[in-house]
Amino acid sequence: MDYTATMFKTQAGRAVAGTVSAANPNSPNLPNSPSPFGLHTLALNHVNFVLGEGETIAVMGPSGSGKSTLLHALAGIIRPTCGTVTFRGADLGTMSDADRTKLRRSTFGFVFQSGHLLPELPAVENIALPMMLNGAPYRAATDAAMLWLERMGLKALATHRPGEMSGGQMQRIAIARALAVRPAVVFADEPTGALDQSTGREVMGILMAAARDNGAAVIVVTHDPNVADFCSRTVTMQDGQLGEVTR
Amino acid sequence: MSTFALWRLFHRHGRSSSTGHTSVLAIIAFAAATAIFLTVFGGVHGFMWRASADHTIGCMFNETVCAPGTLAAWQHRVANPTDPASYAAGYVMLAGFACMLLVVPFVALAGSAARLAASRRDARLATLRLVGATTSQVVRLTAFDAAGQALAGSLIGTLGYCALMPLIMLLRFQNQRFTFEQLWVGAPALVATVVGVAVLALVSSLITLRRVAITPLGVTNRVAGSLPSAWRAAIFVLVMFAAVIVFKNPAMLAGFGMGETMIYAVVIGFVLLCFALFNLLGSWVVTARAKSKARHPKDAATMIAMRRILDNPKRAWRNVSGIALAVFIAGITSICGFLGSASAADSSNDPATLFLRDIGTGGLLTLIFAAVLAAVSSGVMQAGSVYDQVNEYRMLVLEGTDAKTLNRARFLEVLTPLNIVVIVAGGCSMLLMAPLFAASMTKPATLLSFFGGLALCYALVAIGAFASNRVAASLNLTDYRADD
Repeated sequence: MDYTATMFKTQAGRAVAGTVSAANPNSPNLPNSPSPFGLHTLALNHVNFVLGEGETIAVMGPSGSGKSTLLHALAGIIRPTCGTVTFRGADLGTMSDADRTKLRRSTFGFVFQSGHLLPELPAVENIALPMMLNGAPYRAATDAAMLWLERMGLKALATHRPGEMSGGQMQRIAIARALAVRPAVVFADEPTGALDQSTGREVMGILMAAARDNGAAVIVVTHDPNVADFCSRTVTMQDGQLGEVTR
Repeated sequence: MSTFALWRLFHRHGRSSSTGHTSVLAIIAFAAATAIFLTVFGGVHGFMWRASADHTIGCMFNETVCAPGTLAAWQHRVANPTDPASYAAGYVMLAGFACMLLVVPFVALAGSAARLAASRRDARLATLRLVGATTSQVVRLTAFDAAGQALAGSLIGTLGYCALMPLIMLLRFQNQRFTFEQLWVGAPALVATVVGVAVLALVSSLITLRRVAITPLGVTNRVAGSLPSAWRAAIFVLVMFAAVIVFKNPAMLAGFGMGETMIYAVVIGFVLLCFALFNLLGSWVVTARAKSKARHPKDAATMIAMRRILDNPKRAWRNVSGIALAVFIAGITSICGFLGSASAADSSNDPATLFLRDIGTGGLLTLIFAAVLAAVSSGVMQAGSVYDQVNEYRMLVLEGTDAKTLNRARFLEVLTPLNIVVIVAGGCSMLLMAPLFAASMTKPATLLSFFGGLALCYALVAIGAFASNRVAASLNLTDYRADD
């Protein structure tokens, strides 16, 4: 798939996509020195990362180790202070904000801990939303969304709003929403963090099966070794550095 | 732990930035409401000053307390039909009427500000409950907070009133400019206003808190909002129909044995009734329009906007209610303005002509104030909802939603209800006025005044929406740390 990241330094947060880079790559910032744009610690330190086509990777590590920063850097939400993230030959760091936004919209999918569904939209429209953002007309987008709902076994909830669903149901809707645009990569940040173990397993099973069927690669940030077991590879983060776990 | 100690804890360093921002928004809203209220009240005071023999309010209502020697001279002026003083009481009555018309947008803005002050502390209130604070402590804390913001806002608003005064002094009514003495409402009135705004905020926040349950697990709405039913529209149509029939045949009222004064009272009564009922109809109209657009939205922004409106049609109506009522006023006063300017060509200093012209000017002023109140209310509520929905915005941005789509969704959320209520309000006021002033309604001056008023309303709301977009742009939506 040609998705590689070589990041010597990346600072956490505050890097508004496309408007401010965390720091100039050539700036003589020392590791762990405050960013010129605020007091931000160095979250990633000499990270090399390669993702293969349809590969599933779990990123584990203690709190504050830089997992989410890695996810944000890989998804082009923040730019590495020093280094590159390359996706299909394009350097995300040099892309314009509009191009990175377009890339996220059409090529990446996101699943978060608490679903983050829009509370005003019924389930079917929550799933249809990314397709509509890509320019699909309402009818086509909602028809496709209905197919996803059927696949998730949630057709009966099509007109229900997130407030009327359980955590597991919301997470399944979030998975459908992430995969509806047929992304090349799905980023999942603690996707089972708000669920009980059994529902979490069920949700992970659905995520992995749906991603596999669509040929999408998955990067899961998690604390839970049971969740990591769903992935073909596990890497660990410790003090901003990446290590490989062999199984 | 006392409520005051909790309050101090709540206001120490490290408070969430979103809470701080919404506090500023609430203060801005209270300040705008107070400044406009005092300015309008100052105008009423000015007309009362002019209508009183010794320029005191007491003398206006009770001639026995007038300063010696002033009453006879005043009565002589009032009896002279060529003296503008002969219409002085009419000016006071109409200024009071304008005040009444402004009550709706004023209460909408003050209520919005109070709700903003009371409803954005979800996580912190839930945490307080979790660590053992009682419901009453949390309610008191929130109410004090709202009252504190109202106090700060009303004090700033008082300064705003003083700053606006030189501009108001440029206006000519009764062929003369206002003076500082006429517009100055006095220290007791200022204190009463500041206290009144704080009390209003306190009561409004307590009412808001009655609708939410603050549990240790979070803040939830106690009731799911139901959509307004169609009976509101039926009542409104019936009253409008009755009003048009009466306005078309005023002689019919004379047939019931009513005198001229009574007929005027019935006509004004019908206008006021339609005005009041329009407030009832508003949320239904907004819901009907949003429902029809939500069936087949043309893009993502429209879908998000329509669903947000349907999520809380009352909130959507509140955002534009002031404008709708302002348009209603514009429809009526633009005709008076035309009549005044039309007869001014003959005798510009004739008190009757001045009176009509001043009604037009006063109507335009009322429209401007109502539009400013509505624009601030709408802008503040929009900006508040940006902070309120920051997690959803963050998700949308991460997913690749461009800022343009989000801004457009916010704009549509205001513009769609605005368009429909402007059409309905403008149409209703024209329909009511048609039987009385049909000939004047098609005159360019009337239409210019009416559509000028509309353009002003749209411009002000656009400024409010632009401000809320600036707020959204200032949010750092990627500054998010899940656990690391």
